[in-house]
Amino acid sequence: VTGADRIHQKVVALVSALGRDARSLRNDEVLLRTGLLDSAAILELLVWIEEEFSIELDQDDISVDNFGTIDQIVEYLNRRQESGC
Amino acid sequence: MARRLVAIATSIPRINSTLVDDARYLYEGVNLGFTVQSGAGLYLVTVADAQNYDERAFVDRLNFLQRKAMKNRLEPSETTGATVSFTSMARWNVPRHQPILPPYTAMIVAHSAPRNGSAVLGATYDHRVLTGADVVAVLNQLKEPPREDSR
Repeated sequence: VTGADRIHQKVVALVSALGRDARSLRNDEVLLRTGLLDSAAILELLVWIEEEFSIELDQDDISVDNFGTIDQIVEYLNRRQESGC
Repeated sequence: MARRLVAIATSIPRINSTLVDDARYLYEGVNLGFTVQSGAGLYLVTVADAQNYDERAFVDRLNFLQRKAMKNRLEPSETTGATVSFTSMARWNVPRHQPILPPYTAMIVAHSAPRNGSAVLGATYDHRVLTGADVVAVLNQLKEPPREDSR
């Protein structure tokens, strides 16, 4: 299971808790634009990422560029891993 | 909308007040209480002196507190001292709810899920401090998008 798969599964679970189905969500779709996740669910996703990948997110890093899509989240996590912080 | 409540509390100070014994106290700063669910728990996080934040800083501060709440890592100072509060059950698709007034405050606004394009905005308030007309004025201002948001 890749990082993208794990994040996709989490998004599907968060969306399911809101009574919707996100199984067909693509990894390049902008999460906020889909309307599947509300702002609180986005925050839940960020908190889950911190715990799942053992990182602390800096408030300045939380942007559409880094967390807009699942692909962008994976790229951000890879950059964090490469930089060792 | 939560930030709009801060601006309204600045312009109508009596909604940012409390009654203790027979004396009414107007708070100097607006400490916005905002409900955050964490698992089975519920926090009222406090954006202290929220009137000093611009839009971006306000959102950043509130998001920071929300994430700390979800991790159950809030400091006592981050959950105390609210002077006016906001709660929403829109995400749970609840069309109307009636929150309990936090201690030493006069008003909490209740935001709900929209039905057929419109949502019910409600409030619980201390009738010894605020009149119904005061609350209607606040809710009417809240429902209007501010000029900066209507671009």
